[in-house]
Amino acid sequence: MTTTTIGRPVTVTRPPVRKPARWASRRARGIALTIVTWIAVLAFFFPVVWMVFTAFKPESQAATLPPTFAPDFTIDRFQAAFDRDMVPYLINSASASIGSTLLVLALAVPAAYALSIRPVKNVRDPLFFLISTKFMPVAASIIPVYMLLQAVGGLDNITWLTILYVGINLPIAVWMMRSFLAEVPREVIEAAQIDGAGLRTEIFRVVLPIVLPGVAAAGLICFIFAWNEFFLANLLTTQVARTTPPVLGSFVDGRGQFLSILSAASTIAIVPVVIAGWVAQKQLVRGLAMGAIK
Amino acid sequence: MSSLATEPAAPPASVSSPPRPRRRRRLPTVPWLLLSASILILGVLTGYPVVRMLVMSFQEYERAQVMGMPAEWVGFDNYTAILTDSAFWAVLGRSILFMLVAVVLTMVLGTLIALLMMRLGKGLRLLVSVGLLLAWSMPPLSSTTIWGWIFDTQYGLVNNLLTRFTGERWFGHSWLLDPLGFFTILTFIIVWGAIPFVAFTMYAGLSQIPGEVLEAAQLDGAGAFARFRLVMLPYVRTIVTVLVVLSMIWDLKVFPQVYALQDIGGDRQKTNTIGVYIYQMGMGQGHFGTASAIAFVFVAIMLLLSIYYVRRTMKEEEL
Repeated sequence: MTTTTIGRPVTVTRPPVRKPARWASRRARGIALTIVTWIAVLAFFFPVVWMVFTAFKPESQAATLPPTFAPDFTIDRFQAAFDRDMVPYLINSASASIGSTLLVLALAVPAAYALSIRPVKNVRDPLFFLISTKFMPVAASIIPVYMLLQAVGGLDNITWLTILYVGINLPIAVWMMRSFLAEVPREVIEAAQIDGAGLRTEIFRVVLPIVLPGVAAAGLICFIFAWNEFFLANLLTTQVARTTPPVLGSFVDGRGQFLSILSAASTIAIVPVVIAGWVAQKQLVRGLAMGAIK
Repeated sequence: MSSLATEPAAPPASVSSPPRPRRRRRLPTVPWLLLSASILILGVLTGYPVVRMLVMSFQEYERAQVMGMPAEWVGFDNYTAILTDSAFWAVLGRSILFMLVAVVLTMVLGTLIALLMMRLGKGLRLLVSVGLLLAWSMPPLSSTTIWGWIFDTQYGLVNNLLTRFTGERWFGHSWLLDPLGFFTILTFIIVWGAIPFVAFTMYAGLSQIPGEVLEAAQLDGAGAFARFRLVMLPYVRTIVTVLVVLSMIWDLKVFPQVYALQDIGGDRQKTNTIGVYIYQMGMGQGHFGTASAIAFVFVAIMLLLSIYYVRRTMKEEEL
């Protein structure tokens, strides 16, 4: 894309005397970059913006030919979504997502440390074991899991769902954290060790601040995954522990009159993710600013 | 990267300041202790279902057996039934092909967007980040429904625009009925939803690269592509490995999007992927023994593929 257009090195030491040709090509590159950016922005925003827009339409104007661009704005569909008891489901989703994410991070950081900075022998074997737990299709392992939960009375139980989410996200988090920890400059750790830092100090005061962007990224992926997880939640919960995604699914009744209410409910459902993303994003940026440690 | 890190624990001789309690030679068991909790949890959480399914895959296990009827042992019958079933191979081939296309697209586009973000000013970068975050936050079911609407046969946006601009009537044209169209749209939905994760992670990884390294390469006259390939890529190689492996797993097992898109209007027989196929076999029709056997064949294939890939890439970056 833009990277391939011009391979001309840009001198950093001295502001170059701008020859017109170079100036023009730079400008062309700048314009190309801007165009590509806006295409990307449009591609990612459009479906979401359209969804939010649809959420404010009455059901009869949600899917029309041609599309209605000036609908009778109404918050009626949000009302309807809340009338179907969205709040308890949102709370369930929140506890399963936040709970599993915190647990996963607490387990993943030490594990990743033991797989990168001070590695166990044969790092590859535990790493491979971790990722291989993700090979089994959930569509198949759901059967024994269902029967087990039935036997121990764990169906429709948010704690069990949280535990399952830990199992699903933990390998991802460990792998990701490990790849970030592997980039931590060895000198920094050695300096800390020479200064007599204990293991805890080393992890919490030295390593973690450096890889905070990585923690943020791993935490965000775990949170979003758990928040949007449909399959397990749909089969293993019914009422008490029901989370939001299966509820969204229940709006889709196949009769064509659900687009607005689904959009409204989905809009409600993405708000917490956007907030979580915002929190993580701040960490990402802070981590960036700290890039100076290198 | 790791070349810097190869010195094991050999301290420079000069730092032998005597009294300070040196903690460098800690017990080799410490890393194992740090790792054990994760291994244990995953061992139990996957071990139990795996053992149960392994047993089931050698039994005739149907709904009645779930209710408590004793299961009959059938040896390898479930396995031979699958391996000789052309439908299974069709599903498998389709899933792998879809996975390859989706992973390549996701990785390439995600990386390009990460690179783009590195170049943008604060304002535009924020805009791109928000867009990515919004796309990422969409529940798969909702995004599938929205994209389904965009490509809808009757009132879809795409048919609407095509009619307006080509002058021909596109209304009534079904994008999903044709398997190729179905998978094009599925790829669209999946890649659209998967790019944000790849882009953010690559961005986080790329931003860890010390600025001096990139500047030095630039001063040496390395072009943009050479800088990416020779300087940036080695730094983020582990991250790329992780992203590729995870994307492969996710795209092979993709479920809600396929299922929802089939509901909107696709030919299930011709568009099943492995996740949906197993689901229909098991939870759908109640052939739990067969479903388990399919799962094991699938896991075996995954193991073969990934042992090769993971071993190879890890050898390159061995600590």
